[in-house]
Amino acid sequence: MKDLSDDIIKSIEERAVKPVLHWQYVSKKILFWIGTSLLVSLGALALALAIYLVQSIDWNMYSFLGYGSLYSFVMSAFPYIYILLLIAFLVLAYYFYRQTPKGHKINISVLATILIIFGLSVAFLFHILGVNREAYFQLARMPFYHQMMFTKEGEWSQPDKGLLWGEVSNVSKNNFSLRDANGKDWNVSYDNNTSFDKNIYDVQGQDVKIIGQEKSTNDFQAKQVRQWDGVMNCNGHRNMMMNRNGMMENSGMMGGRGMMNWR
Amino acid sequence: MDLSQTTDWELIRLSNGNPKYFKHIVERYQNRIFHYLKRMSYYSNEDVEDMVQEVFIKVYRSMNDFESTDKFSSLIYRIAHNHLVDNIRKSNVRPNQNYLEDEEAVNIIRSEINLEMDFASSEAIEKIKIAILQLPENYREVLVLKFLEDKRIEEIVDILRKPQGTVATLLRRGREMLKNELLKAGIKN
Repeated sequence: MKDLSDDIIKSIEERAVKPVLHWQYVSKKILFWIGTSLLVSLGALALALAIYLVQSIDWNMYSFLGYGSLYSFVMSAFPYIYILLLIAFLVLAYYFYRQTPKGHKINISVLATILIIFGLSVAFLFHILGVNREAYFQLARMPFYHQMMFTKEGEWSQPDKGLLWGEVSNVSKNNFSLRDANGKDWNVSYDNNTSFDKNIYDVQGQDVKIIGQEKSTNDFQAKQVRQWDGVMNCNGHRNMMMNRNGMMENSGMMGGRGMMNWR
Repeated sequence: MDLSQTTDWELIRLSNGNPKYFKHIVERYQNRIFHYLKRMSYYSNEDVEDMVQEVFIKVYRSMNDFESTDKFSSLIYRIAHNHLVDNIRKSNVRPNQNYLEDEEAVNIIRSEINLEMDFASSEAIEKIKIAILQLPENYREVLVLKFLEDKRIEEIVDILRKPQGTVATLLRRGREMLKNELLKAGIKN
């Protein structure tokens, strides 16, 4: 081949080629590191949300919802979307990490293992800190969320299947009023056979979940009345539950706000 | 000023802002890059020379991205490799001719097949070249880097930006595939 050195230098000078500035490369490397960290964190959040969702659902209610077995209920209510999101974010994090200066040196299996362990650790941390509860609270306030996912709120908003959730008001001897998440008012009847985990007069103004039977458009017969243990009340506010010592307990990280009507 | 003893990294430092010093880098590596591109592509000498020019302009442009802990030749080969991949992708044509020298083709298979150059017939060498050409691109590039460019595995890792395990697997499988092809073609140990 002929000596190209003079042609190359001439070409560099004629085209006024300049070396790309060092800070631009540094910025690019930092961006890939930030991207990798962000994607792992998002994957971890998806997993933490899945954990919260699994934890919050009342799994023993499957027979009310028409599932023949717990297994078929688990298969139906399993948070596939979050698991898919976890996988998608980790795969993206893998490709981002590969773009870092030494990212190509680690073997695929080693890098995948590191990302999975790191993702699981961050997910566990999010769970401990309650980040997943807060994220769930924000998501649960969006109307489409309960249509996309099987949620505790959705589970207990099926009066036709005997599961009702709402805020108690006007308690009298044999019945009380209840307003559900759609703002619909119910007249809930109870009798001596109805079981309560707290005195019904004590939960006035609070949310409860009820197992029973829909009698007519606005009438519901209660068999069991339990304190609502979800992160969000049916009015879209944060659920402040009474703990064992009678103290108010915030089930989320921050104070409540806003109204909802998500169905 | 005699720059023959100056290291690559020192020349790169001097070249930053003064392309004249970059000429010495080009002189040191242009032949190697030309032959590497030639071995890996189907282009004519003129086309490969154009590619060499573009490769060195890219090297000049990216000199601030280099880290002195890296092996300089690996960085140039990496840019050449990426440039070649881009070109082949743009033209969307796989190599259909072989520019390997007879001895180069034998070098690739020497560790697998005990073929002495003196005894290798032109017909056998042609079969070897065809077998090498028919290898998938990723196997072929690893074999070329290892046996013709004399690169160590660690350097190939940096040039191709693939993990060491992947490069070692490509190398082992590439050699096995080549050996099988040659046995099928009637060239035996």
